[in-house]
Amino acid sequence: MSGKKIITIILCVLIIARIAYVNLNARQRTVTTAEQGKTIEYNGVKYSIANAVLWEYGDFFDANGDCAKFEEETLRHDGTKILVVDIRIEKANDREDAMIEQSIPITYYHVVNWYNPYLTAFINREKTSLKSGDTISIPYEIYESSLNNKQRKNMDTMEFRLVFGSYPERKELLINDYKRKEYAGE
Amino acid sequence: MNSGEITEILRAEYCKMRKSRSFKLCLLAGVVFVILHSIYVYKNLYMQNEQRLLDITNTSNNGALNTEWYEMGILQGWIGTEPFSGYNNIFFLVFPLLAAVPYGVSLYYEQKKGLTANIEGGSMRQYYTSKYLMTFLSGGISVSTPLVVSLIISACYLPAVGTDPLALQTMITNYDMFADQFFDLPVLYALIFIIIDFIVGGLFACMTLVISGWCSNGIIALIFPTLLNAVLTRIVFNDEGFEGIRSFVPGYFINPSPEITVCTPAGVVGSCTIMGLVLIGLYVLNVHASCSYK
Repeated sequence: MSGKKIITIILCVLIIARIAYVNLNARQRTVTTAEQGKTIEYNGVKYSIANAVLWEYGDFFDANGDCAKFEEETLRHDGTKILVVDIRIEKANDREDAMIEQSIPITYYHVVNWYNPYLTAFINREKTSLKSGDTISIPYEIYESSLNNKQRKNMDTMEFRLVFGSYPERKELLINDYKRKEYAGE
Repeated sequence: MNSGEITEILRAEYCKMRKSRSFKLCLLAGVVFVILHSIYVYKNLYMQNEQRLLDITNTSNNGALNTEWYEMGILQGWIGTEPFSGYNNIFFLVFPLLAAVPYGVSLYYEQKKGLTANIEGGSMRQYYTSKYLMTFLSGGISVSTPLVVSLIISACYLPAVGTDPLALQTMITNYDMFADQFFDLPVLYALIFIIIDFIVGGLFACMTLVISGWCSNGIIALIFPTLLNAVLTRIVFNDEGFEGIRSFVPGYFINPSPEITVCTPAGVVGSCTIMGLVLIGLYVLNVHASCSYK
C-alpha cells in the first residue's frame, strides 16, 4: 500500500473517531414535558395550565372591546389567531424569594413566539400584586403566515408548548386541550 | 459506436480534467475559503458560546443551573447555513464562477489550439459527449467539495444536533424548504443541499461550455453564468410580484440559508430539468454543427 493511501486511511479514522467523540460527549439537556393540567416547577415557582382559549384575532378584540387599542388592523384578516392561556402560579415551599418568569415563550412546530407585554399587563391590570395560587392570563398571537401550507390546515388542532429554561433542563407545559371561541356579536 | 472507444475517451477526458491546473486551483481556493470560515466560527461564535456557559456556571449560586444557553449544532458552523459572517454570501455569489472555471472553457481552448482538428466525424460525437460529462463533473465537484469539507470540519467540534428555534441563531424559518430536516435532521439537510449544489454547479459549468462554443471569447463564457445568476436574482426577479417564478431561479435555491422564502422542491426539480433539457438541446446542435462542418 502506498504512503499516500496509508495517510488517507489514518486521517479518515482519526476524523471519524473525533466526530464520534464529539457526538457521544455532546451536552444533552433534559426535556420535561407536563401534560395539560399537571404542574412543573421552575426556579422556585410552580406553573400549571388552568384554561386555554383559541380566538380568531378579530373576534378576540370584538369580544374584548376595551383591548381595542392593542389591535393591529393588518392582522385581522390574515389568519392570525390569539391563544389566551390562563396560568396558575404557586411558590414552591422552600422558595419564598422566587420570582415569576417574566418572559414565557410559546412554541408550535418550529415557531417560537413571545407575548405582547402591554396587552398582557392590561388584561391582568386588576391583579396589582400576584400571590401564590393566583392565575394570570397571557394572550399569545399565533400567526398563520409562520406556518407552511400543510400546517395551516391543522391550525385549529395544533399542540402548543410553553417553555421554561433551556439548559441543563428545559421544562414545557403542553397545551393540547383548548376551547375555540367566536364572537357572535351583541 | 464502440463502447470501448467511449470508455477510452471518457478516461482520457477525466485524466485531463483531474490534472488541469484550473481544477486544482479551484478546489484549493474553495477548501482554503472554508477553512478560513471555520476558523472565524470557532474563534468568534463557538468560543464565545463556551465562555458564556462558563460565566453562567461560575456565577450560579444555588446549585441547580437553569438558564438560557444553547449548545451550538453542526449547521451553525457549516458555511451553508452560518448566517453571521459574510462567508456564506460570498461563497454563493461566486458559486457559478467556481463551477465554470475548472473545465468550462477547456473545449474553447482546445479548439483554439487546433487540438480538435484531427478528430473525425464519428469520434467527434464521443468527444463532445465526454467533454460535456467531464465538465458537468468538474463543476459539481468544484462547488460541493468546499461544502463537504466545511461539514466535516464542523462535525469535528459541533455535535449533530438541530438548531433550537428559541436560540434565534438561524435564518431558516418554519416554512422554508426542508425546514423539518434543518431543525430535526441537520446532517440530512446539509447532504440534500450538497447534492442540489453539485447538480446546479455541473449545469452552470455546462452552460459555460455551451457559451464558449458560441462566442469567441473564453472570459465572457467564464463569467456569463455568474452575471446571468446575479441579474436574475438581484434585478429581474427581485420584485415581490415574481414569487411563483423565483422558485425556479437557481440563485435562490442553491443557498441552504436563503434570504427569502420562495424555494420549493418542485421549483428545484423543474429548474434543473429545464436547464438540463436546454443544455442537452444545445449539445445536440453543437455536435451536429461540428460533424456537418467536418
